[in-house]
Amino acid sequence: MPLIELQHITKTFEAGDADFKALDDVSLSIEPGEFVAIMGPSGSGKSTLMNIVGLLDRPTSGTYVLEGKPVSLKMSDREQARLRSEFVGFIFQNFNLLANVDVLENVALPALYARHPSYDRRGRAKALLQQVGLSHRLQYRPSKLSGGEKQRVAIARALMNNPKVVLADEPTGNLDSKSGKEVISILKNLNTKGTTLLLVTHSEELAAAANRIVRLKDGRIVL
Amino acid sequence: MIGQAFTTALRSIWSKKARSFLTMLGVIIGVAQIIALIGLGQGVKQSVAEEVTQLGSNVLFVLPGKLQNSQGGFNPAASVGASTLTESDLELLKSKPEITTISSVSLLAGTPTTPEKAALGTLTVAVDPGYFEIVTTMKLVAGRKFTDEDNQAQKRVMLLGRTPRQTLFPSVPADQVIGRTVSVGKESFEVIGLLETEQSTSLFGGQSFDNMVFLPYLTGKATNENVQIFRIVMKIDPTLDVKAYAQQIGELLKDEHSADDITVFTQDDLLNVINDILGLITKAIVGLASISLIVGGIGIKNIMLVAVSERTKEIGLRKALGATRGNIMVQFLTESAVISLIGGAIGVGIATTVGIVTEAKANLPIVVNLNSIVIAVSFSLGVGVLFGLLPAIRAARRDPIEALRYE
Repeated sequence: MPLIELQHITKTFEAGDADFKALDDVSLSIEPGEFVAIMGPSGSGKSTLMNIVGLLDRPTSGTYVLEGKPVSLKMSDREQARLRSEFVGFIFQNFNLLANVDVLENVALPALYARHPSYDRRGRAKALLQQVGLSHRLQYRPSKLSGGEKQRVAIARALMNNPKVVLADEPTGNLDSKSGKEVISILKNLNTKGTTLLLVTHSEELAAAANRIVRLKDGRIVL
Repeated sequence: MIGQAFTTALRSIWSKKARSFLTMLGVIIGVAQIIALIGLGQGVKQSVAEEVTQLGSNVLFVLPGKLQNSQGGFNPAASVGASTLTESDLELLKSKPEITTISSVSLLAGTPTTPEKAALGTLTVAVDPGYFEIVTTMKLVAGRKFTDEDNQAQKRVMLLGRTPRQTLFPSVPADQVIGRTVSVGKESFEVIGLLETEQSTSLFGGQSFDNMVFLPYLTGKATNENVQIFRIVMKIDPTLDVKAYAQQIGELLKDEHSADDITVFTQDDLLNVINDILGLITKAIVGLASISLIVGGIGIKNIMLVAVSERTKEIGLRKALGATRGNIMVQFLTESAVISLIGGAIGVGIATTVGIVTEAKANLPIVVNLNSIVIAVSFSLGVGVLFGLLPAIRAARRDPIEALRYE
């Protein structure tokens, strides 16, 4: 059973008189443990696809099946937030760490919004930071970290709620090539340990790390 | 969840200390004002009550006009106009054996003057010698009080209160004021004694006992054309039931007047009236002070709106990490409530300090009790939640995708 199945997904934005189709009849299936890169020029619909998969946005039409269960287009904000917190981990191009709390709190943040946060929040955050090689930075503020370290904190945070899929939007876009390579190798390593990864990128080098590349153009998948 | 929101709120308040403090200022001032004013009302109430209680429970007052309305409330308008008390009332009461001491109180026209100065605003009052045995809050600091002989002989003698003494004879030692001459209208009087009160509030509100000069009743009558009795005060046999006796002489005087146009007050009645009036004044002043609390609330709302737009990205991130609208709303509401509560706590602290200082320096009692603290804290919590609501709703409604893109 695929982990994620998109069936004939269309997303339309109102733009003046003419509606703009960001996604046009997109069907895509991702198996558990896959590492998929989505590539395409700006405006091709990559981010929209990612927002829909990440449950931040809802398609205009089509069906989104998550672990065999269709996701309702009419679910409440609360249900959507809960699904997001259980299924998805996000990694952003510009890290999006909270400036006024330390690294450990940043990583532990998603547990606040999880439905069953009975596990040891800080203990788990520490273990994840150890995985990404940042055990010596627990009490640091994000502003004291290098770009590569920030992204490694963000990766640890994405894994906090043990998500079914990790979505990464240009994770190396703001990094120098050395830290970029580090981040790629961490992501690859995660994937070999079984984490499903969906990557949006311009970078052929980054995409090459994936098992499969999906190319988008004008809201459609081109093979 | 709430505990975490509380920590988050404290953290973001602390990270912008100066701004948070300025935001709190309105609430601080509002709460300090309200607590101090309620406390002042309480304090005045207590000291007046002490003064009244000092008179003893067997003191009765007869006042012109029907001051108590049918519901038992107080109707001060009834005392306006010509006095309904007469000299025959006084004579009638004097004949009662149960009354041990009695005195009329009359207001006389004219300002006390010396050739150089005038004590404007000072009341000239004529009383019987027994008056000072009933109203014991005034202490003689020099000279002597009236005697029956002074009264019967209509001697031109006078007792000076603190204020007219300071106005008419500044920097003259007390013992040298005795024997000086003070004029009221065309008549001249010899100062035979100086009086001072321990407390500055007067029994009937308004004029303080300190701002009065006293003449013997018959002297006042002899030197003024139109003397109106506006109070009769008396002490009765302490073994009697005061309330019943008050009613009895009330009926007696009403029969004499064949009209219901006087009021007999016991100590308890007087305390009730004073509490009514002070309660009303306190409520009005506190109502006015609440305006600054509202202004404080508007300040909180503005700053929270700024915070919401500054932290748009954070809102987007939290939503992406699984926060619901409710989570975001609770977070921002907690922040405004905490700002307001801290402001309230500082306000309570300031009011308490002011209370301690004024008590020590100005002998003005400000009573800060648990009750007013509870009122202030719930007020500031209410203000924080009420004025934080709109910014919190705005934060909760942010679309996560746009919020994450926001620069």
